[in-house]
Amino acid sequence: MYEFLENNSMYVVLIVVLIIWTGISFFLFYTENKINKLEKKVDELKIKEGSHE
Amino acid sequence: MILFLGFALVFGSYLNLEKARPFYWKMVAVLLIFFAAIFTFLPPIAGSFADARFVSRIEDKKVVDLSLIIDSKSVEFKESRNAYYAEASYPQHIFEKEKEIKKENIKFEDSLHKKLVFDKELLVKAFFIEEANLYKVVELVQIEPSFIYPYVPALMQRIRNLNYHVPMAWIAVIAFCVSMIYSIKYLRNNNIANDIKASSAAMMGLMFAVLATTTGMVWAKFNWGSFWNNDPRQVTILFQIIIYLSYFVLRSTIDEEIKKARLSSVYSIFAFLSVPLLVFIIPRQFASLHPGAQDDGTTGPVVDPQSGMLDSALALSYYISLAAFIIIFFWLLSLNVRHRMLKRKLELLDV
Repeated sequence: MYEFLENNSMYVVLIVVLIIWTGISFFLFYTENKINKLEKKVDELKIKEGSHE
Repeated sequence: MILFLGFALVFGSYLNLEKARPFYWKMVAVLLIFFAAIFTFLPPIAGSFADARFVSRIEDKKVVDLSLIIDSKSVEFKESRNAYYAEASYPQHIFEKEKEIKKENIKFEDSLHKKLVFDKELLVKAFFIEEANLYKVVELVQIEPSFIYPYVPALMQRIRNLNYHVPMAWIAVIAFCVSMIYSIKYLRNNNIANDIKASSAAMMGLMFAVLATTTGMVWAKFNWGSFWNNDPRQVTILFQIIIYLSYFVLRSTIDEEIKKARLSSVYSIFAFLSVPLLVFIIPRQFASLHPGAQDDGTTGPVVDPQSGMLDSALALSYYISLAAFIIIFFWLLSLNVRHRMLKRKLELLDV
């Protein structure tokens, strides 16, 4: 594996680029999760308001 | 470079991070990512005659990608050797400073003669034969390559990493600076929105610093032999990460909102004071494996030795990539700020 990457150094660049995009997509997943939670909260609030009426 | 970053910072600090990014912003981001990928992966690497000569000293008859123009008048067939001989010169590339054109002797076989085009720039595979002082062309790769990367024996294809690894570190610096700007704004007007922006920016900066370190480690494994070399720049970025991690530790220990915002703003301002020291000063004072270290006036091996600057083709693609990541950074930052502002508004409603 190491030798293959040593001889085909283009794949090292590919690994580097993939690390960066996975890092950024992890951040997106994190934000997505948080927004999902917020949406649930909004729904709960709406139900509460509905019961007041 | 500094102008570029200064522009990004001024531009960034006038953005309204609480609003959705406009449509053109997203289009520019997509386009820049597209071009950054194309400019990183597509251009072929080509060396000059001097590179082939240098490589042949290390490994005999090692084949190198060469960029050359064959002079059509000088082509002649020598029957005794059953090969063509010609004179070739290194082409003048766009953006490149004018150099003295020195003709070199090349040799190629009959089968290649039909494929080669004369008086045009060619990208060929060739090696240097020391005894005869000529270059033997083995294979034709491309005719008239419009955009080529320089050949650096130690880096080879890994030279393309520059477009992705280096912007990460720069964006971490920008992010920490944005964090400091919003911390100062918070201390001036006590608006909690500024504190949210400051901590979001610090978080993004932390993420990009970690990305810079991991991508750097992968690169280091293949260039320097091991993942961690205790290189000054590796150590200082580790300090940087620890300093900003402790910023979040500090934030998580305080429950009261105003106290938390005030203390962490002060901490963020002082944390930013360490950034120029750790990024720009200390790594330049010690001998380092990174370019731009002590007694290294250039920006590294990836340079044109005459001007001491980054190779122009590389510089262009590097700036495209940096611009792409700056746009992505502010996009992600505003996403994070917007969701945290929403969360806060909801909490206020809930009470």
